[in-house]
Amino acid sequence: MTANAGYHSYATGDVLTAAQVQFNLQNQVIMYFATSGARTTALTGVVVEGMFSYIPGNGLEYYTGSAWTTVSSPGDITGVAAGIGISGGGTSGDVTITNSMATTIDAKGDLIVGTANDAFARVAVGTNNQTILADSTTSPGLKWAASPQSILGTTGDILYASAANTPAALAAGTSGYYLKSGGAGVAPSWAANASAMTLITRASFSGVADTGTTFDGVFSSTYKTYLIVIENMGAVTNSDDLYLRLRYAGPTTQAATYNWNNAIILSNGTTATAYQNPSNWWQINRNSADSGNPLSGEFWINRVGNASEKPNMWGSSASSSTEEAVNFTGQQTTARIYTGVILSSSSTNITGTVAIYGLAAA
Amino acid sequence: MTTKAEMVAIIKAENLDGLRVGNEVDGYTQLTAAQFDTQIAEWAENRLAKQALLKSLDELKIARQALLHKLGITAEEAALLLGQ
Repeated sequence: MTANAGYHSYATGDVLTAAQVQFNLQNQVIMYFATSGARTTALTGVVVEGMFSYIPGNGLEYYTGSAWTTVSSPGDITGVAAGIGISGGGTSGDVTITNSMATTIDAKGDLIVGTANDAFARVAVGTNNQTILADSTTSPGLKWAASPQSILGTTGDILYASAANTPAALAAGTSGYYLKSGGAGVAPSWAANASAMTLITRASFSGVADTGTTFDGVFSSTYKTYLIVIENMGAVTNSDDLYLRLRYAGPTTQAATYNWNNAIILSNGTTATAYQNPSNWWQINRNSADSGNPLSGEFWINRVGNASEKPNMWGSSASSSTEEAVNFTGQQTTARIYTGVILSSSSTNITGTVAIYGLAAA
Repeated sequence: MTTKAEMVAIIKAENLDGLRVGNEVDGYTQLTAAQFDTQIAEWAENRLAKQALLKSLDELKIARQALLHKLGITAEEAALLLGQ
């Protein structure tokens, strides 16, 4: 018979043996000892797994086969109540509790926010690139709203306030323009720098009888004075003169009524003059250059945008071919709104690069 | 003395592929035959005028030198005399 003999069925009239009392009864009841030492003394050599004992101060313990272990008290919990944010619970048997905040979430990105003391609600996720803002006028106290990321649609956009607390995008302006304040209460805008020159056009051409439509449409109401920069230009031979004529609506080349004079400083230091009144062009350089030794120069022109004004042009140039410097002045005695210029030489093709800048009127 | 017709022929010979206008970005446009003839005629007139101008300047220079020789002074002395 083992130390713990287990359950035994007794019949009426059975006489209990010492072994039955020892192994079926005594070894399987809850034994009382005054101390742990008394228990050790009493059970040395007979202790087996499954024995129970009660010792004051220790409480109920059982033997695992290697040590005495306190029996927990699972019956202490008599009920589970669902508090704030929790649902479910119970007072008997297995109970389930559920996190109500978790089940309020329906989709990725949803937020749970407080709506009042101990109250919460779901705020569905916004659209991509929106941001969350505090808003006491809404039920949850928060709202999804446009963000810089959602407002700025493309490269070059600028963020500004279109009204109080209202961000907006100012689309990229014209190349070369600067951001201009409209003053308090007015949206900013893009504008040409009023104190600087703006490149209107720059073009290179090779072996042309004239520049044709290249510099049409360069004069406008935006500017009053223009700078024509001849970065380099030459005719086929340096015996040619360089011409500039005005263009107007159509465009049509202004064919006559030019006045001009050239003050020429020769390579030996002496001076010469050339002039024509009237002429069919402005001669801006005598014996201009050839394409291998091009001309460089700058010419200013104004009074081109007013139907009642006669244009003036002035400037200077230098030729590395003839080693002459030429100061030019010219007038066009027909008043009209001119829109551009055309360049040519007196009798051969020209090759070069020319840029035209506008000087802001304001 | 070169005539205009001769000068036109000279310039046409210099431009056997015709003439064009335009630029590198927008492209070039070839002049029509009529436009070509008009342009060549204008260039011929300009070139003849330039030749005439240079010829007159040369003649003026020769005349000036002859006068200086006749007066027996140099160009610098003449400039000094004229206050230049």
